[in-house]
Amino acid sequence: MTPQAMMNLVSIAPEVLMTVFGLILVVLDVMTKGEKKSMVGYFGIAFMIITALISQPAIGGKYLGFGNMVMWDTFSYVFFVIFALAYTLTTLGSVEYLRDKGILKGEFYTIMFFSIIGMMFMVSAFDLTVFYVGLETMAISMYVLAGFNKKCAKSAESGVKYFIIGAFSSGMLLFGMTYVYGATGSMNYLEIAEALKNGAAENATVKIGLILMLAGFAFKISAVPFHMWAPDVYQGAPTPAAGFMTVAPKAAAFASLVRFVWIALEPVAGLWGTFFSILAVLTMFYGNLVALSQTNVKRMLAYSAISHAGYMMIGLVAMNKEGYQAIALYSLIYAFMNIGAFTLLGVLKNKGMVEDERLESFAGLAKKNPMYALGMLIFMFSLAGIPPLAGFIGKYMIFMAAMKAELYWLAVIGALNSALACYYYMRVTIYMYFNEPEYEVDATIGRSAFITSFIGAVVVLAVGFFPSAFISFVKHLLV
Amino acid sequence: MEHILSILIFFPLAAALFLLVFFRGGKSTMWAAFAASVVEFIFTIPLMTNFDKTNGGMQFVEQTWWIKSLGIQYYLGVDGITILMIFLTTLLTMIAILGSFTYIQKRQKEFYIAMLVLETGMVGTFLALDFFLFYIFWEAMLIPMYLIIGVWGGKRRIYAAVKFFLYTLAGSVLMLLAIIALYYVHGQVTGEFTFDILKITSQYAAYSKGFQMLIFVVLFIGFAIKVPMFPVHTWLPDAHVEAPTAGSVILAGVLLKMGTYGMLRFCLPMTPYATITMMPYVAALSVIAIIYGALVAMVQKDIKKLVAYSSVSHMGFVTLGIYALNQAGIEGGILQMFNHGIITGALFLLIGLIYERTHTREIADYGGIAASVPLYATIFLIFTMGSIGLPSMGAFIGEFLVLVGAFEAFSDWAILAAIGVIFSAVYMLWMFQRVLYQSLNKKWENLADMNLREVIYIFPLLVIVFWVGLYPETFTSYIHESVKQLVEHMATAAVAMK
Repeated sequence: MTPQAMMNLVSIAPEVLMTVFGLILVVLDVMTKGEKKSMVGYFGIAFMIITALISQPAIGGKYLGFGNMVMWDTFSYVFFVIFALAYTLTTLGSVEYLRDKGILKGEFYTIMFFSIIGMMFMVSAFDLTVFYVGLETMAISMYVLAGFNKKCAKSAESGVKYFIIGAFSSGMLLFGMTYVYGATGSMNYLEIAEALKNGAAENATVKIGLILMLAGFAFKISAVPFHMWAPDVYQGAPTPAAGFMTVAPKAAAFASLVRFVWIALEPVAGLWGTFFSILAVLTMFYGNLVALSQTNVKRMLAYSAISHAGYMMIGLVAMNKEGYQAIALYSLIYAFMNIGAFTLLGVLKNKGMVEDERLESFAGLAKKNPMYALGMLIFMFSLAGIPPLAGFIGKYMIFMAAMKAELYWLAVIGALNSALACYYYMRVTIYMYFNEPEYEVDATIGRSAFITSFIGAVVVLAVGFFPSAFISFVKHLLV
Repeated sequence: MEHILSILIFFPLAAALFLLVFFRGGKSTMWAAFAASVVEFIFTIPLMTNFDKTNGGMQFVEQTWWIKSLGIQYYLGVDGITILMIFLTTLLTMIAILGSFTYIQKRQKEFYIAMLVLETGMVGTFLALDFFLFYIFWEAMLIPMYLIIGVWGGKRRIYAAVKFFLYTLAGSVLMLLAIIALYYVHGQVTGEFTFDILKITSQYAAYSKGFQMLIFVVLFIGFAIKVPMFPVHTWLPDAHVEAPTAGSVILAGVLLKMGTYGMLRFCLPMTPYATITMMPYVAALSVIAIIYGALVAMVQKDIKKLVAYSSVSHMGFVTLGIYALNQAGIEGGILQMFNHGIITGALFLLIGLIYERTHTREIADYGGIAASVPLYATIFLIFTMGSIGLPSMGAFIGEFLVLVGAFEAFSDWAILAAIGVIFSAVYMLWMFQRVLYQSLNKKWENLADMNLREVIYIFPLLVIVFWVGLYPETFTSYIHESVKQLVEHMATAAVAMK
């Protein structure tokens, strides 16, 4: 084998491996029946672990193959681990929910699994075509997941809504790409950067193209004013799927965005820097202010997911390596706390009178179900960014990056927003701890939900006290 | 002795976990929590006796890396400024736990766990010498206190808990940014990126004037909310009134001191230029707090609210003393922090124990109860006098030193502050008269006097009040050297400024 062929193979090996495993999962799905369907998910976890162990790149190693189209390096690897964790946590925690709703099917796991292959391609892409194919693989899987509970009108609605808006934003992205391609003559990140450096940046066509592309990206990370789909989709989707969707696709979109703007758009940093700093401010304020007035906790978490995208965007605007490392760390921590919170949310059941996730359903849970309440308390305060919980470390790293880039005003806005956000997270704890129950609620944590929320809570606490391991995990990540 | 500070921080946490796992509420839990707090208090005794009073620097230092890649250390130490606060914290927690035995009727186990976790946070905040560590402890105190007010508080407890939480948080998130800014600027100046408080302090001369002002203002606001100073004091009356007795005791006794401690440790030495420039304005705010707090206290109908506003007034003395920036002022300020913790803590306990019997805190509902509870009346009278600042009791020494210091620095403000002392006599005596004297309200004829447990937990406070008043040297000797160093530090900074 020539060195070039070897390089090609290494650069794409993890994706190939994952695809093979994915196909095995499809076969496994056919071989299992009824209650055993969760085995598909557990096999998926095993496959992810194998892939993660095999494909870890050497520190600083960069494997760029297929004519600079696909890159496998620590950056891709770290984000792959984040996706794998999101998958693992969701799979472990979802069995009871899916069984209760009568949607315990193998597809749930295989679709999630394939969506991760799409995300991996998004992150490793060094070329817009590869990126786009990855994006669509992910997005189509997500549409299916959102509408997975097809007998429930809300879920079906959420799927369709997601599909229409997703298709629209993909179209916009694609349209922008054609402009960029037309003006720079290439789809490759490195060549686009070269063309922009040599004066193409002055070209109005490129500017229009880039703005359209960035708007397309903004849709994917649910940045205000491109966020309208997010609350409805997250609220309608089955709760475990919603947990997954707020974490993994967002991390993937952020990672690919970081890759794209850092490599391809480096010469026009002023353009996207301003664009995203405005979006970051809008996203934080809008997400938090609207979340304040929600009475449904699932919808509140959907808006909180929007505001978290705002914090992460600060890391992007900071334009230094601390910035994107902070994004990676934030995504990693966010996976644990948000999926944990969604898992606990999925456990909650009223006796059929009102929607399950109403704020009032949480009233008095601390007395009836202290473990549930304690878990939720940990997740809520972590999402709010109160030390010594993991969420604080994430926010802290973001602010550090912003301060290093001398973006004081943005850091101040971020800090004020995290104080503002505290109130709505606290409100859940107020209901749980300070109020008396209004109606009967069942919050018995089943075995699988317990495992996920327990892992989530332990990690949130452990990372809060000993963040070194997580920080050094993302430290070697370089675009 | 080597790891005494770590033990002090983590013993209550370990005890709380022990309680969580092995106890199921009820009497045994109370006693276990109390035993833990007694052991914790006993740990402070070797700390006090082995403390070298002639050394103004940090002692019992523990230093190791925590998050090395970010320059964050697990760095603890105690000096003259903090040692009395540690003593106060462990003493008041112990007393507050003993004082809650009958007051807390629901979810007892959780209450004592929250108290012990809170103690870890408080001790940690005073001992941390790493900015990041300090911030973690500072914020970590919020959650247990929020639960203590919110779960075991009075009627408007939720409002009070949320207000307390959000006020403090708003101040502290900005403080976090100031901390990060100091980290970067110190790193740029020395090439060493660290959160080490002592190292950041030692480079104060390298920070530009504009930067110092910015940092000072942000840190000051964060700490002023905690003190609380006028005009950010409005969370305090709500939190105090709604909190259960133990919560009020800890809040008034220890949490308020965090603010003034922060000023002493950070604002003054790290940004001396800004401190000296802003000194008169802070003095003005302090005097406003003294007089305003006293005037508002005068018209309160609720005893607890009255004492809460008196805290605003008394803490005004502390900040006035600190910003006088001389030996007498700062020493008086620290002593006054200690005294206020003891006296106000005792007053809240006394109010709490009578509330348990009568279920009212309205001054108008009482009258003449001295006849039915003579022992209570005597002790209450002593602490009332202590609060006013009667000679022979602690607060007199503190206020006297503060006023001496303030006269030296800004005599006009000091005169006004002295008037505040008179006001405090007015509201305290008037309240005392309406509650305990005048004609006996028939309802309270058979009121039970203090029982043995109540006498036991008040007694140490009684001793300390007179001890400070009659022989303050025992306590000031701890403070002396550290304050001297601080004053010298400020003086060199003032010279360098010119």
